[in-house]
Amino acid sequence: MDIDVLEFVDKIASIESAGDTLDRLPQLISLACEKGQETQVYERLNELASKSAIRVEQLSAENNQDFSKSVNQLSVVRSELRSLQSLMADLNTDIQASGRDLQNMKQQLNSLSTSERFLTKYHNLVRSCMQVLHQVQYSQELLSKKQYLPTLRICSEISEVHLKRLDGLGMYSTIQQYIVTTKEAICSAVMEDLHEWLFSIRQKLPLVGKSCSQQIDEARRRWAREYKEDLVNLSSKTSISLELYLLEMMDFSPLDNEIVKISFEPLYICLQVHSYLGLLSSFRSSFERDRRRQQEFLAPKSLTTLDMAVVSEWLNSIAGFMIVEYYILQCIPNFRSYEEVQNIWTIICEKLVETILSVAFTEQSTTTIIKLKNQIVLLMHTMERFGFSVESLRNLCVELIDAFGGALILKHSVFFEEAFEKDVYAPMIVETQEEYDHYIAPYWNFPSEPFPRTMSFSKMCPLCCTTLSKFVRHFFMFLNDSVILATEVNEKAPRFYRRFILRSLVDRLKSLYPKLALSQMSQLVKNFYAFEDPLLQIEKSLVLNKPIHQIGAEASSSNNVKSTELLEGLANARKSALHEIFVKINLKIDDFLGLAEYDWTTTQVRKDVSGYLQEMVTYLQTMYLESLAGLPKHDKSYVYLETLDHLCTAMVDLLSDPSIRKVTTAAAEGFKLDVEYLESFAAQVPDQSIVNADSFIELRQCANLLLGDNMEEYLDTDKFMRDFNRLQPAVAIKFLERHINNYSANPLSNDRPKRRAIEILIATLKKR
Amino acid sequence: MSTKSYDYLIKLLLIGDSGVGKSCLLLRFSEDSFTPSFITTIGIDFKIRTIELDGKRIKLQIWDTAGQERFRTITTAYYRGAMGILLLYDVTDKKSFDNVRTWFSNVEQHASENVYKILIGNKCDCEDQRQVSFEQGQALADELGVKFLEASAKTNVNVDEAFFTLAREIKKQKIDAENEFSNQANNVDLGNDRTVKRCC
Repeated sequence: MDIDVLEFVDKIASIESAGDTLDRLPQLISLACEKGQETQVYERLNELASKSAIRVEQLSAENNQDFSKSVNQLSVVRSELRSLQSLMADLNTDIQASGRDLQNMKQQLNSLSTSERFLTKYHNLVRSCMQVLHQVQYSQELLSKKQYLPTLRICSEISEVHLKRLDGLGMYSTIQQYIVTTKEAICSAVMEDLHEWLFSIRQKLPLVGKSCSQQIDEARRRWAREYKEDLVNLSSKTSISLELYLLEMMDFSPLDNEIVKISFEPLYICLQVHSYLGLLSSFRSSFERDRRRQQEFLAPKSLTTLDMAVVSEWLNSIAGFMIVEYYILQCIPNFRSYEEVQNIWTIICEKLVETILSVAFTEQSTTTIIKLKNQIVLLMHTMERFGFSVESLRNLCVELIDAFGGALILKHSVFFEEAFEKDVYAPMIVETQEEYDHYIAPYWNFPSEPFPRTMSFSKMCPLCCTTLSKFVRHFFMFLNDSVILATEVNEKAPRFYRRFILRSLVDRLKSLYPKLALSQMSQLVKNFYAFEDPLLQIEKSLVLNKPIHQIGAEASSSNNVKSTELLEGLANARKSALHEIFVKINLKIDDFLGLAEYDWTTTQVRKDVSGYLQEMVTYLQTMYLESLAGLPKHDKSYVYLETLDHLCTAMVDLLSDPSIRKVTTAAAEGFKLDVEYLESFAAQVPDQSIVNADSFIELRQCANLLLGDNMEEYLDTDKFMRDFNRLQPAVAIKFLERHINNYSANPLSNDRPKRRAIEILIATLKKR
Repeated sequence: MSTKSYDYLIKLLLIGDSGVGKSCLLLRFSEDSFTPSFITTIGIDFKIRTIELDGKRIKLQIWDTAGQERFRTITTAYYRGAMGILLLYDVTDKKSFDNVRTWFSNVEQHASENVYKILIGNKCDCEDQRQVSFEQGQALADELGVKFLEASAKTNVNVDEAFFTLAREIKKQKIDAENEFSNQANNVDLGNDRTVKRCC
């Protein structure tokens, strides 16, 4: 470029015509300005001027005239040149100014072009932005109307289509963040809506359960009416027909009826949103957790007593909850797993069973337990309708039979206590036929006799039998209309019946023994005998599952059902009663013996039996005759044997008292008199089945040994052993040692053989 | 002589109409307990209690008789052996009070001549059902020449007093008298062995 400018200057210099040169100057100046070579051009021009001046001077020198003329011309030229230079300078200044303006204008033009492009671009961007913002605004409007899915679609459109145009702009990340936030907000919103929905459902659950249960109950009642005849004989009834009936007849919509309406829309929306976002799996897990937690709130916080209002609410809530689960399974395939729903049901049942059983066995109201059972059975039928297993609930009802039985025993035990307390423990006297029909006829068959009639048993017997009949009828009230439990109730009825008798009747009477008088104990023995027939008849009706009112008619028939447990219980009670009788008599015997006053050193022979003994025998005769009156012979004999044996033992112990060091012959004779008196008494005891006099053989031998007659005969120790075979060696030794003091130790004494015999006997006995 | 757990034996007898509380009174005295239910005594029964009087151990054998007529033969056999008799009536039962004279006659007929007697009006705690006043009881006792007390087996009023009073009188009149007689005999027969026969 520089060469070009200088060449241009050279070209101008070569121009012959001065005018052409001047015409070329603007172009030169412009070019120089464009190139920024104003100084160089100026220097070049100065060089040219200098060269021209030199040439002029040369020409002047060559030609004076021409020179002078030339000098004049040169002066003119010089002046013109200086003017020209000044003009050039001015022009240069103007050109420079014009150039700057032009540059500015060019820059402005360029700027305008750029701006125009920018403006076009901006216009397009603004349009895109406005479009995006419009979509965003629209999405927000939809979101505010809770139209979540359309909102998500718009966000997707923004993200996939419109947002690309904003790439590189700061707004891009803002919009992107907005989309993320919006999605999150939608997730939160639908979940919040879902939780609100679940909460509202939770409040409606009892109503759902209750309304559905009512429908089931009504269907059940219709079934009962249609099969009324079959209900009379429970053993022939099967629950399967009821279940089939409920399945066929049920056309009720639990979630959409006049009482309660539950829409699944919030759940559907939630499902759609999560599915659209690809979060269905996590939502399913979240929903499962929510349902698990929600089922935990079904149970009451604490149940320390069987509050039926609380339990009823709980059961209805359970039913409602599971019905909702059922319909979720039905309406939304593959969302809820069948196993998970069954698992929740299992958890609920376990909680229910555990909680109920923790309070049922302490509940004393049989009515409450029956109500509870009815509620649970209704829940069973309701849940079966929706395909849930009810085995655990059925087992719970079977357990409730035990709770009911326990409460029933407790309840009816009061009547036993009342009968025991009011009883006079004497034979019952029946004054009229009406009284006989009321108390006696239902339970016993006796030959006709005129009134007043005296029974062998006391009044507690018919009263207890009446209580037992009521107990049995009340036990079957547990069934109500719950035929599905008929088998178990029939099976448990005899068991609880026997338990009731053995615990509340037999064991309770046993506990009264210490407080009862001798005659009362005797009456109890007779009562235990009297109880056998009616108790077995009632039990027979239970085992054969026959109505109670037929017991009397069958009393005379052969009893093929043997209850060894019941009979053994009564037999044991009688045995223990008899034992108590002889214990009481033995205590009296001990009292009498405590009054005994024997003078073992007396030398005066008694002619009369000891006073205390006469008094005791008279007393025992009264006891045997009056207090034991009416007992079977073998029972009397048992008492005789035990009491007389005790008397014998006690008297032997009396003789064995260490304080007795010597017994005189006279004293021994007196004691023998007493022994003979007792033997005579024993032989005369009425209704003997054994020889009671044998009870005193040991005592007789003691008396004989005390006398010590003809002791020399017992040098043969075998004879001694035969004659005193009932004596304990220790007792015999003691007695012999007493005798040895009666005889002199002098070898020359006439008593020496007797003393020797006794010494040998003692030595022999000590070796045994 | 064998060692005894008592010094003297005193035999007492309870008589009166059925239901006046003979057995309950005895139960309260011997075991300090009470049974509200009515238990009919069959024939005869007795209880033992040892008390201490003036430093002496007195064993009381107390016979409880059946008040019913059908046991009369059995119960009268025990009258003769009794050293003291408690005649009971029920202050809430006028009839039982009226029958005291009959029981007294039986005592006169069957008991030992010198038997000591006391009249007891039982159930004195039942004021609202009272049919026999204290004054009436006292008057009858004065007429019969015996001591009188009102008692309650249920509330344990005068129960011990009744038995202690009787026992104390018996000891005073019989046992102590015998001892005094024995001392006099000893003074008379100086230097001789004592052969006093004691009876209980």
